Amino acid sequence: MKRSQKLIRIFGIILVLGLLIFFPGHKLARAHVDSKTATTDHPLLCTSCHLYTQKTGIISKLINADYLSPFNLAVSADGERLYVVAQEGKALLVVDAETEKVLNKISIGNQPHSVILSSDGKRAYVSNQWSDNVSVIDLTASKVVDTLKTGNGPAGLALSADGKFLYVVNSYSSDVSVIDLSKGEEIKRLTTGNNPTGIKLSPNGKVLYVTSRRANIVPYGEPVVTKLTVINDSTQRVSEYKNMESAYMMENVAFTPTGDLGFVTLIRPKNLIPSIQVEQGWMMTHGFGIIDRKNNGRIIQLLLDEPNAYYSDPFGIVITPDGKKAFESSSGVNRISVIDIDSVRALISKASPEMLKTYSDNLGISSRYIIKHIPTGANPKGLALSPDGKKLYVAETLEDKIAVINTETLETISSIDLGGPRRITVARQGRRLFNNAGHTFQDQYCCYTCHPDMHEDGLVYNMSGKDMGRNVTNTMSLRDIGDTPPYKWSGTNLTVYKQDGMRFSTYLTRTETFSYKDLDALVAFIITGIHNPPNLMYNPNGELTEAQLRGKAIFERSVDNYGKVIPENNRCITCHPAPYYTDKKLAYVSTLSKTDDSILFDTPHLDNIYASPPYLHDGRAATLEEIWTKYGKDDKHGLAGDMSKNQLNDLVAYLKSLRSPKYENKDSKKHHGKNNPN
Amino acid sequence: MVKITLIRPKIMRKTTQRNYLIWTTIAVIFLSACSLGFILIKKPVSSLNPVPQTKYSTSDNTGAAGKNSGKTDIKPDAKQMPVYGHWKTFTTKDGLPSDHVYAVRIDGKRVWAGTHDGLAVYEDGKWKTYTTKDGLAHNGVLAIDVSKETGDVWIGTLGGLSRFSAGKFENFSQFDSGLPNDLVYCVICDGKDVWTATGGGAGHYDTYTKEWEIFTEKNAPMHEPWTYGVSAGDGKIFIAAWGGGVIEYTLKTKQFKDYTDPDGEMEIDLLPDDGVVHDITTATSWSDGILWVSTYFGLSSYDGTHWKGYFDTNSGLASNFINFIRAKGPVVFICSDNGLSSTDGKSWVTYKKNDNNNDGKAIIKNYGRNDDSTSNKTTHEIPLSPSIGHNFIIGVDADKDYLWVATEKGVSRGELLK
Amino acid sequence: MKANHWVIATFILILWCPILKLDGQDKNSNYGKAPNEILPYDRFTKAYKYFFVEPQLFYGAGREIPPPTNLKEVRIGFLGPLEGSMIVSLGTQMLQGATLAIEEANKKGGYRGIPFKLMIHNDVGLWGAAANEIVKMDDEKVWAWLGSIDDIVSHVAIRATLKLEIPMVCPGDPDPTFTETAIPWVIRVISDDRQSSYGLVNQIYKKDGHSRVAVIRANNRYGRVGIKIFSETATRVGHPMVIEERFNDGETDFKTQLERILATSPDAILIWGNAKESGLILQQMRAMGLEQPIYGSDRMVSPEFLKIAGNLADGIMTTCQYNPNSDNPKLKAFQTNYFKRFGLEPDVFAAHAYDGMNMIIESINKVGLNRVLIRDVLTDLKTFQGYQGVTGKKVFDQSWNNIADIWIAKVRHGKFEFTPAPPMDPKNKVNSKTENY
Repeated sequence: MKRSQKLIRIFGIILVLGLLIFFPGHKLARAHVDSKTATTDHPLLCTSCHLYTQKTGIISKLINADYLSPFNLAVSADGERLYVVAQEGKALLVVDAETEKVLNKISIGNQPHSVILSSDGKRAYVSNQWSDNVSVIDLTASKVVDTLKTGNGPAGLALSADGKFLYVVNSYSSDVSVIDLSKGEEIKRLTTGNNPTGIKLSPNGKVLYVTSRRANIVPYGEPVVTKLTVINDSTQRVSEYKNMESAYMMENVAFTPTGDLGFVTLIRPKNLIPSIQVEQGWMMTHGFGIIDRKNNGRIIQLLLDEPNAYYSDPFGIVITPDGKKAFESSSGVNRISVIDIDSVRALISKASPEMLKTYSDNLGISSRYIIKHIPTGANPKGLALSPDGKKLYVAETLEDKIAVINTETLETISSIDLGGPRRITVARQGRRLFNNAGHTFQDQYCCYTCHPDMHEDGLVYNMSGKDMGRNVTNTMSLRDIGDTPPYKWSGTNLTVYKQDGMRFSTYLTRTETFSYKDLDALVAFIITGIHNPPNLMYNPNGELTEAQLRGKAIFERSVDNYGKVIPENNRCITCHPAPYYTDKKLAYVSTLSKTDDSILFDTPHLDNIYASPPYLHDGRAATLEEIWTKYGKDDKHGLAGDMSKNQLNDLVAYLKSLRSPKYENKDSKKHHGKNNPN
Repeated sequence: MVKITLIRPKIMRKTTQRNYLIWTTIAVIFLSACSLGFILIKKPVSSLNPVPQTKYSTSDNTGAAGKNSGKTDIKPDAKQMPVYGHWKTFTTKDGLPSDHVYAVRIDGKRVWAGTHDGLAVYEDGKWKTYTTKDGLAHNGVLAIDVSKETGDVWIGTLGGLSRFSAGKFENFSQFDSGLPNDLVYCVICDGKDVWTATGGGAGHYDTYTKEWEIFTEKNAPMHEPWTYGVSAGDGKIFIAAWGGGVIEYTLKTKQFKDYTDPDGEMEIDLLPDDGVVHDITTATSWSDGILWVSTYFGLSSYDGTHWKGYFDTNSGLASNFINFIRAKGPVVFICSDNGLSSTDGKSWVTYKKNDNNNDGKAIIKNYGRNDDSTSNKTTHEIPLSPSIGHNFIIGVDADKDYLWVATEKGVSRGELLK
Repeated sequence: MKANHWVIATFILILWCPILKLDGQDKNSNYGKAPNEILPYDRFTKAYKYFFVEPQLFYGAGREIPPPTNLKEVRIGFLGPLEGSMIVSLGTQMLQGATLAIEEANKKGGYRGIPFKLMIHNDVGLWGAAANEIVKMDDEKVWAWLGSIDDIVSHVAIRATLKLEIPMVCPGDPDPTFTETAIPWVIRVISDDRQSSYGLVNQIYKKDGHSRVAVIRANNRYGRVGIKIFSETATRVGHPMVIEERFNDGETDFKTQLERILATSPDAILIWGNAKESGLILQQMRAMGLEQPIYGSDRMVSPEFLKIAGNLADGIMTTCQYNPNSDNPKLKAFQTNYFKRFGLEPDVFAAHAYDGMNMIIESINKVGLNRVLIRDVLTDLKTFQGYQGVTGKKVFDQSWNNIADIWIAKVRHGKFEFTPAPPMDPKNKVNSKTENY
């Protein structure tokens, strides 16, 4: 046989074998992808799942990048320096405003949030939201000189009028730490509204306004009310809680120079209306609240939105020194909305209370006071004005840039590159999609709107299909969910692909589905990029308190207080085993309400469960205790009826201590190191 | 009686046979009357316990009270003991939600009163009421304290714990929080910590960490979780445990210590100075190095070494049935069921109201106890017109100028007489 | 005067003496009818202070409050274990006893034509729920209330009743400390464990001549407080208990405790607990060969105990707060009516609840609708002193505790037979040290 014939034969055999393998293999792969995505046409590209969703290892490191994610910023009194908080970069970036170059990168704590400068400009204070402290930075030496302990999740910062006290808004523990700067010690904590963030001292230096993001927890059916906390600077006590009705997510606050008006960003959710309403517009509206301080403190709410165009996820708000314009960042649509304050004054001065009430839901009225929506880079968050008010600096979080806008011409005049990675990774693209409302009908909202900080907004929604008023569900956190399928309370989606694929557009966005490229990116971000913060409030270092240890024993118990064996399916640990505290199965725990379809519920994971009230699928339990005191009395959601109050408290203490396995591993390594010095 | 029966035969001799029966009948009736007398006029049982034998002098201006109504000319005899006069009583007519007042607490220029039908605050000469409609946990308000740091008002009610902050209520119940029980008999603020005495144990709430701790018979030296009073001082928390004496909790070491009546019997106090006078304690208050403990059976003081017992029979205490106490500086104010007393252990001032009018008196004793070595034990009565609103006192608070008293007939305010 | 007149006069005098006792006040004014030999510390020293020697007066306000107009019903609260408790059967009986009294009163026209209405509350909720139920009763505007059995429940409830100022009658909790709280809103119509303990000590040590007694008791407040008095009394008569073993509610295997008891070779054993556990303990005791005489606490007097214990029950002696076999016509009528209405024999809790509720009704009928005035009548130590109820004569001491004589119940041929508990120390009966003090 000729050599060539031999080769042909060999190739032939290989070809036949290849074909024999390829067709069934392809079929198998198709079936695999179809089952994971619940579609039939997702491209068969192994990398889209198996590469981009890698969380650890060299490949993960190679395909991902360390971004800076500028979040908030401050401008020095002379306007020469910008101090930019890089949330993912864990640093304060010192930027020369003139040359637009980064001069210095000062390492600070975990997940820094806000920055404020002392009046002499010598010091900067930066809140580290995931470190529960404030870094004190000497700006001449460009280094951290002190770390001040705060409450849980420090965010917004303000200095007292005399500059002697620092107010730190603790976003997770919902209070404000008052720190005596001369001693570097916290002297008291003032209770605020739920999940506060922004804080600002009024121009006359008498009061501070503190915004809250989450609404008060109320039974489903009652309107949303969120508190704005007013602190008296001289008494250092809360002097008032103002109710922002039918609104939440007040991220930041600004005052007019005379102090007569306070502006807060806000979202008006329509969570009580069945989600079918999305098609008619009106699921979420976005705007601002005005506290008319001279008019008995009356509260007015106006929208940024227009018919057919929404300006989702307002975040930052600043007012020019002349008091003429307010700038509000609409982070979900990459726009800065410019509000003409005189027009607002004219509008509200003539309006009766009834008219104002209709204004708050009127999409047609914003044209009277919105001058422009200035486009920006991805995800504009924090805003700062130059001291003369001529320049507006915008932290473009997912762009790693600072946009510079001329406040007269309302044009972007420059873009300061902070030096983050140039390439956009798949996960980064996913994060941009997550934070962008472009995929929702008329840009009404993005994933982030109901999942702020990629967590959850604490509201209960009527996620109905055709049956209105049925199946109300509490928003679930997306933190660390990659390893805890299935998804949805009903557990019908086995993968994030399915969860965010076809049905997502049918039920939620009411637009075209994500392209597969986008879907891959979104899934990559959700699986790899959303983490639980450390549980610094209840379990900072992995060493459980005595109460938590007792609670753990109850959680893991197999016999009740009378020595009777608890059936295996009625023990906490059975359905909620470590590390995620879910068995990833569906269960019946006697929580079905009349408006629920008769289904089983997905066993939720319990990491950082303390941060996700209300509880149960429809949010009926305002606190963890209520799961067993008000509800679950039939002992179907774990045997609890025999417990003493001490035991329930211990169990709750333990549940609050649960945290991401990531930290468990870290701490156990740390302890290991401690125990074995060699 | 014996004498009469001896005389009777002599008289009988002079009477006719027919009268024998009449006399016998009379004798029987007489005997019956005497016997009834024994039944009805028994030896006063209070004599079982020694009555103080002290020199008792009444001041000269007794009876003048009615003439100078609204004014009382008092020159306090007792050294250092503050005396309060010019009493004014506020009732539902003045805007209180109920005359049955459980608690009173001074908060700077404001005064809070807890009543059976709501919380009331006195400010700028007016009372304002808060009820469940305003968000209060329950209308029955048993205890009030104000955080010095935050100004938050913590309110113990018959149906949970409320925090009143800047016009808004936030509620804690046994079902939605770690609060041990919804019946909150006492609440106090100690720095960042809030302590409650409830029917289901003592509760400690850390306002920083939002964590609850419960202290019951399971983790503290109590027989049962029935706590009634709580106070703070000297780095310690003092819990009045109903039937369990006083539970002392040292904040630094987290160690417990209990003080019970050493005789271990409910029906006696073997020795008055061997420990707390009775295990059914109702309140504790620590000030100036002295722990004061009230019971329904008398008052105790403890200076860290020695206990001392005070009863209505051996001191100036108005009554042994004490609802509540509050110590301020060296003085403890004692809310009894039959008058308000105050003492520094060396002398007494007791306020009483007359049964039939609004007047009353302050009784001043210049000794702490009958067995004190002071030679010249004197007692003065000083008329008050008007006096406190009612003798059944449930709550008290004092600042440098005023004494506020919660009674079963309104809130009374007395001015310090200089 | 003729001799016969002297005789008549003397005779009348002798006859007169018992009349002194007609008010029901016992001559022995030692607290709790305690014989001198067991008075605490009495052999060593006098106490500085004796409590409960005079009734605690109520100096508070409220007597002047007029009754409400346009009332449709006169509400009376009831608190008892009706659900989720081990003693639901006792609670049910107590409720039925109270219900019968209410129904009979309503047949007679209620209170001036307004019917009485029982506001029923279960005392076995979550954590200290009893006190919270009293708060609910206050919201319901009850005029008085009746309850309960378990001392944990009663104790938290009295504190609430004191704060809220609602008169309370307790027909079922024999915890001595219950009335030792000096709360002037509370009376108890059932004899307490102090009386039971004195009776048992007398029976076990003095009458039956035992000296080494082992105790097995419920590990709850009922067991703890009951045994405390027994133990103190036994010690003071010279016979400390040889061992005290405990068992938990719902426990079914008592082998460990019984083995420890066996090791001490006692000559009698006292069981202090609920009927069910007592029956099981008896069974297991006999099975292990412990043949000693058995004594028990009042809760043994129940059909449940007899059913579990069967033939083994014969000879067992316990105390009982009344004599269900008495010829008292009131009792007979009650027993008949009760059986007619509810189809079962009334137990001790039903009978005492019936008496207690009748006292509440009588008080309301006497003084009208005012809590303080109702309290005044219930606690005046006159109106109801010597009250003849279906459970016999009520004798209230200064703490409004019923210190009437108790009964010894002995099982014979599967049935309880009742005899009055003999006085503990007749010699000391009149001689009172506190009176002499």
